[in-house]
Amino acid sequence: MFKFVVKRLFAMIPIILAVTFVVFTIMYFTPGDPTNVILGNEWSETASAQLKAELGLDQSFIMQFFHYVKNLVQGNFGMSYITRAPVGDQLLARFPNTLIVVAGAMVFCVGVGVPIGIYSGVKPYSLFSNVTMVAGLLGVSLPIFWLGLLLILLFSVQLGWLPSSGLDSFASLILPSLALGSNYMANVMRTTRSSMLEVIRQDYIRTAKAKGVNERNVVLKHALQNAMMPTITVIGMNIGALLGGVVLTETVFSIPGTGRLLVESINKRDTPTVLGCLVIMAVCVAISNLVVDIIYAYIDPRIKAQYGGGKG
Amino acid sequence: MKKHVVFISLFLVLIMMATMLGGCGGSSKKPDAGAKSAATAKNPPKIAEPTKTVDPKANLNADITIVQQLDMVSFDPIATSDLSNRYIITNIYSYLFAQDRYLNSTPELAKSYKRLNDSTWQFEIHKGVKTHDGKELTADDVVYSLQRTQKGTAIGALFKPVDKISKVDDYTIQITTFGPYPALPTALTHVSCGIVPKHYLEKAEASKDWSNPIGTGRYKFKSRIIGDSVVMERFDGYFNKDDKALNKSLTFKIIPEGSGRTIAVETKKADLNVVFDTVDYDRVVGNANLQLWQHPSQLVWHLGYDNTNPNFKNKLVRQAINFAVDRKALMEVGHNGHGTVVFNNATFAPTCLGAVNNPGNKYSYDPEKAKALMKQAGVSGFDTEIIVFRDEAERMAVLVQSYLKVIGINATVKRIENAVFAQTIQAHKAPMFITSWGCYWDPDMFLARRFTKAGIGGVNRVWYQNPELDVMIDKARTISFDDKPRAEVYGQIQNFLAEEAPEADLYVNNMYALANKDLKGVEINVEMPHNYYKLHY
Repeated sequence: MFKFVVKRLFAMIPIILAVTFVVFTIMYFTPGDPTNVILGNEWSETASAQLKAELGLDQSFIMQFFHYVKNLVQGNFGMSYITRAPVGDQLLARFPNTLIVVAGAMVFCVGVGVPIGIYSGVKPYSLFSNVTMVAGLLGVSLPIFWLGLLLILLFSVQLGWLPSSGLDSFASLILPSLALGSNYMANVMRTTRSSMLEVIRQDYIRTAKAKGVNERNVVLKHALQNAMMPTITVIGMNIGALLGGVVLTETVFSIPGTGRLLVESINKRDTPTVLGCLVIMAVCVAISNLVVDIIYAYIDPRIKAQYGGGKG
Repeated sequence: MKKHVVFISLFLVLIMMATMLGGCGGSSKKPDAGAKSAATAKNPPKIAEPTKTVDPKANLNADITIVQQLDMVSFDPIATSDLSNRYIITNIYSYLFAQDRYLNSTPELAKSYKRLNDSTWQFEIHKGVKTHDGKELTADDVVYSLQRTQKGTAIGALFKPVDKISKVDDYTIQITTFGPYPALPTALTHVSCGIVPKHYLEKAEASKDWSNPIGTGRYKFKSRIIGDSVVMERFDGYFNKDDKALNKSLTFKIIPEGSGRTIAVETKKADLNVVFDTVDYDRVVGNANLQLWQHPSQLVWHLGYDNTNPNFKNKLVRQAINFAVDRKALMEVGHNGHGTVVFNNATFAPTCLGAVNNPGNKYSYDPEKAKALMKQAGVSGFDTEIIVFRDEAERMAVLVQSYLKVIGINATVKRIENAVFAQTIQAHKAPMFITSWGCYWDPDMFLARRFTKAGIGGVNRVWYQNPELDVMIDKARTISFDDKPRAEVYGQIQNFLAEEAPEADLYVNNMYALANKDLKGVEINVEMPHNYYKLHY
């Protein structure tokens, strides 16, 4: 198992390099010039050329990419074209906020989606099951941006219960987690429900019931473990999607996170910052996939055996 | 079947509830919504006038929170001329001249100044000016800062006429220019002319670390969370005891979303929103706990066209376009009708030196006259494109499209990104465009770049140049250091450009600031709310 983890960690290096190359190339060839943004109305060809030389933008594509990768290998994300400050400092300040929001959304997503999915799977034709499925559909259908604004209007403006912006307390995490998580919770809920429905009809479940095992144990001990495999896959995939969706959540709730920084930097053609954000996000997605694979191994002994660490 | 009906009903009820909640926002995007509601509003916007007196019972120790849309960029004054940066860092640094509400200059560090001859200026700075770390500011600091500004790119053309900056004695500096430059004091108000003490500047330049700025301004830097907030507290050692900060601290919070900023003031999380989104206009003018402040801006929205493009080379076509567009309707669409219509062709805001709103009363909304001019030009029509990169401009472009259609011009609207706008202009790929231009009070600071060879490839986006105009612009700069004769020449320039019609100026929009109703000292200049040091309760 240890070998597998180490191998996967090393496999992340080419992934990061590939992400870097692709993003760098796209940014290089995308029309637009950061000097327009920096100089604004004071833009002139001479000033732009001077600024480009200062920022190293007058060098060739290969040289710029080479310098970037050389710095990246040393853990240096470079300097932002716009703020002239180290990108690493900005990421350090903002990425924890993104992680907190994603974690909050994930807790909501799993904490609410999985139990509801289990119950709906066990009682598929109950009113509760149908109502939650409709609510789930609504959750998927409502855009994060709009839902976020509705939540702010209700809970912050009308009721005054929760803060509308920032991320300085547990209370301020609730609305962003709800807005971001509800979209993905429906996925988790529906996947859990359908796999539960499938597992609950298996012979071994019927056998367990015939032997007199109580309903709670049948569901939680016998059925759930097998039903969780597809759910874990969906949760793993959701992490990448949450990192994408967090951009809107951070904007609506004014959270200084990486998603917002990424969009602002794309608009300003601040390539080092865009690369920094995307490299961090790529690492995050790669690690979450690895974690999902490790969890598979713990849930399913057959997979653990394939990794070479289990007894089969 | 019955079950399905129940579920569908439930679903519809949920959707209705959500829509009703959405309606709580009360926002309306109807073009005339704001203008109509202003008349019946509980508390219509007030004009923000400069604070003259302060109530002796006022609370001058409040912690003020201001919300703005974008984060600042850097405390390095020469890093950018971005507005979101400017109105934060000007609280930390002092300037030889500060800006008044028309972006004209008013002395700050400069105790006195005089012109020794047409191209030599001498400035005496106040004695006893303390830096935030307790040292005394001298001419060395001022000269070192301004020489760095001169080498930088942010100030652009404004410092081009400046030749040398030198020290005369510990409290006097001299600036020589290449010929007469009456706008020098105004140029010195530019954000990049912030005076940074030499000892700190040398350190910051070497380390490229501007995270703990030191200045001589009214506020000392306290903390910054990138992307979230900047906190500064009153500097009790500020040299001008009669014009100190009227609050204890300023916190700038970044809220990118327009309604989010409104809500922050509504829920008392913030005292002042300096980038108000007019989408929330109806809601806030109906709320007795809030006060909306307004002031005309010097942002001139205009319809530009590439004067080198064969379609726009004929001035009769350009004049026809000026008659074809209904500026009032465009202002309704662009800014909910909040602003002042201008019939100008030189990007002069009505508050600029020598501004004439409709030179020679030449233009009006007259489609028949526009058609006649097209006929006179012998042009039956042509296809073209209107380039835009902002929401307001996109809304206006659709309307302009219909006006142009009447005179035979078939225009398509193309939205691009801000970052590619300058390149699109440079590549002559913007035959028509709609954007805004922020004027300084002194036209010398923009005319030469907007309509002469010096601005080609830069901010002369209409590609207009004319030797006759060059002579007039030069005359306005050199005729006198007094405003009156200069204003007369600027009047002549506007008449000349009205005939030439290199662009169609449309309107100047109003600036807003949304505040808690009890907040006093709200001031707005022609660019943005400003002078935050005057805010108090």
